[in-house]
Amino acid sequence: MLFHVDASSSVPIYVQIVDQVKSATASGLLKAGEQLPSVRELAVSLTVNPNTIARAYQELERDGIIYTARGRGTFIADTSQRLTLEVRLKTLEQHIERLLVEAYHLDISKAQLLDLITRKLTEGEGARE
Amino acid sequence: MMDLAIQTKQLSKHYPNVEAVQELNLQVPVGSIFGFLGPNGAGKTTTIRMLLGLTFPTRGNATVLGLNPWEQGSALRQHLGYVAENNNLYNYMRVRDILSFTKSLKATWDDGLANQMLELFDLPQKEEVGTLSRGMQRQLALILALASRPKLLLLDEPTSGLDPIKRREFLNLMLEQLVEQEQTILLSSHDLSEVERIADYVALIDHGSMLVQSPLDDLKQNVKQLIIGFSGEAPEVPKETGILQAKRAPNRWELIVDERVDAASLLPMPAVRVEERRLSLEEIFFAYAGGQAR
Amino acid sequence: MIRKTLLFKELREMRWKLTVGMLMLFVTGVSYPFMHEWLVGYMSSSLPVELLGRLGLTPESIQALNDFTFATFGNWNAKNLQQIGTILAILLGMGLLAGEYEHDTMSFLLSSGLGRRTVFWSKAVAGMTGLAILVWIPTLAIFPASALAGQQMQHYRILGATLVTFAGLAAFFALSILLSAVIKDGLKAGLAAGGIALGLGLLGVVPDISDYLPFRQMAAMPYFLGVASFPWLTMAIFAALTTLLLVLAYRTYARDDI
Repeated sequence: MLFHVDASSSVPIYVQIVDQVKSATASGLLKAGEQLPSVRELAVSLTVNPNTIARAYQELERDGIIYTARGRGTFIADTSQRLTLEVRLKTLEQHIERLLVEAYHLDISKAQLLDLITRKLTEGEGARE
Repeated sequence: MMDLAIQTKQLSKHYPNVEAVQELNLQVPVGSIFGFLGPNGAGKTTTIRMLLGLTFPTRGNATVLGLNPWEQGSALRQHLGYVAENNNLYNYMRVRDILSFTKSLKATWDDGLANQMLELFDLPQKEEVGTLSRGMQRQLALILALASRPKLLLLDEPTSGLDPIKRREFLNLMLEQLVEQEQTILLSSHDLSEVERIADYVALIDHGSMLVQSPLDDLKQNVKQLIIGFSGEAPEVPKETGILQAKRAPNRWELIVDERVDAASLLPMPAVRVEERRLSLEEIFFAYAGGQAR
Repeated sequence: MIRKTLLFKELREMRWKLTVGMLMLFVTGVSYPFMHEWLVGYMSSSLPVELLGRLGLTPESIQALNDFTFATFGNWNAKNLQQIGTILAILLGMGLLAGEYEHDTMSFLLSSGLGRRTVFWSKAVAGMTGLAILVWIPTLAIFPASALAGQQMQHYRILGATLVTFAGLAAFFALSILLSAVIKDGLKAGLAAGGIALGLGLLGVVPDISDYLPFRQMAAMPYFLGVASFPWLTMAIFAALTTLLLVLAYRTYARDDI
């Protein structure tokens, strides 16, 4: 079974499923065009409310991770079919806003913050090479 | 506007020595699995019995599947499935007798479904009900409640007495039914972990009063713990709606807040550290129950 | 309003009461024709007149007992059917509602999709049916038993008298249901109804009112002796009383928290 849920976790179950699909596609475990179980199948195999699965699929579809072909089922989307740059930037923007609020409360200056981001980016590049 | 399978307004039940249910406003959407939670003695059973038209309210009203439970009880109960907490069946009847007894009273009885469940639970049809174990009697009660494919299932602590495997099988069976026919399920329990998995709405009641009622995911997303550290002595925590629980240590606040609280506007002075943490349902309920002035 | 399934369920739950009741009524009532001759002979020849006097029996009344039809009536309508019947009527009534409360099955029964009206009246009809079985089968069995014992019935007014007895027993049955709807405990309700019946029986020693008490009325002796016509008024009063008690019981049950 590709998915599992931890019901007693503080993370909502639909978020757990969204995250698992996202990381499975990112790591290549799920490939473009691959079919996902139906809402009902997944609900029963995980013993989770079908509405919860439906919500996770909606979220994933909105993010362009999956698509639904009427009558055929739900599939992993092709990267090229994914969201426009505009939408992707918008999503990231929300995360950055939170970061800024946090930085304010922690009394981190603009220069310190930029410094930190640059350092992290360099670290990330170093790790990838 | 969401269709509601159950709606109560100011529903109250007072007994001579105890206010069992107080001004309950319950809203159970059609097609949901509604976790009705609270400690033993919180008023869950009294509420469910009022929804069935078995117990009469002191005040308030209720609409269940569009009907008044106290005036249209028999019409309503044709569409309900109910498993009582201390569920008692006719002990002298054989399993197959009580099946045919219930079948003859319910217009929508489905033999195929009944047989499927009998097979799942592996119940001996020739035994007398009274000779079955407590767990088996419970399974039988569930079959009797489910086999008429009711529009609304009212289950009072339904899986107590079932072992983990049977419990899981039973929950799956309910889920399959829910998907197939827009069934609404209200499930009372004191066991959060069971409800957390399958419910999409939850309500918490204690001492007869509703503490919170919300879609489960919203609750998990909106209610969070804030740990706010100060450089000097921590100021008094302001009294604001939405702060469910507040603890003040010499140099920090530990708050549990819902979506109405904005950390930035709360702070009288810059904090040195703001930590946000999500909570499990158990922690959330504990905060609601503990924060309630009694 | 009456559900057959429920009717059969109640009759089934009553089966032991019906069996034991039937046995008692056969032993005390249907056996009488076989004992009649011996009993009358024994009393008139073997017992000293002095003892008979102390038992309240005069040579005339022993003469009257010689009349088989009258003796059967005295043993059945005026005694066993009345006494045992009252106990059985109370036993049948007290368990119908209280049994569901005691075994905590009322919520299951109602959640099977039944209304309280259906539950109550099906139970009441089942109880009345049980009572009718207990009263009429032994009563009717007296006739073939008499023939078998070589006795001759002069007339069939025992049947009319039994109808009046039955109407009175129905009222005790209804009283028993009412009390069990109020008290919700079958045993206590039965004891209370039994206490009322006993009290009414003891009041029989007061000469001024004894004629108006239910047990005297239930026997319908004047009608049996042919000195009065059939007591329609008594029948109507018993029927009205039964209806009233049942309606009160229903209303108590219909407003009850379960």
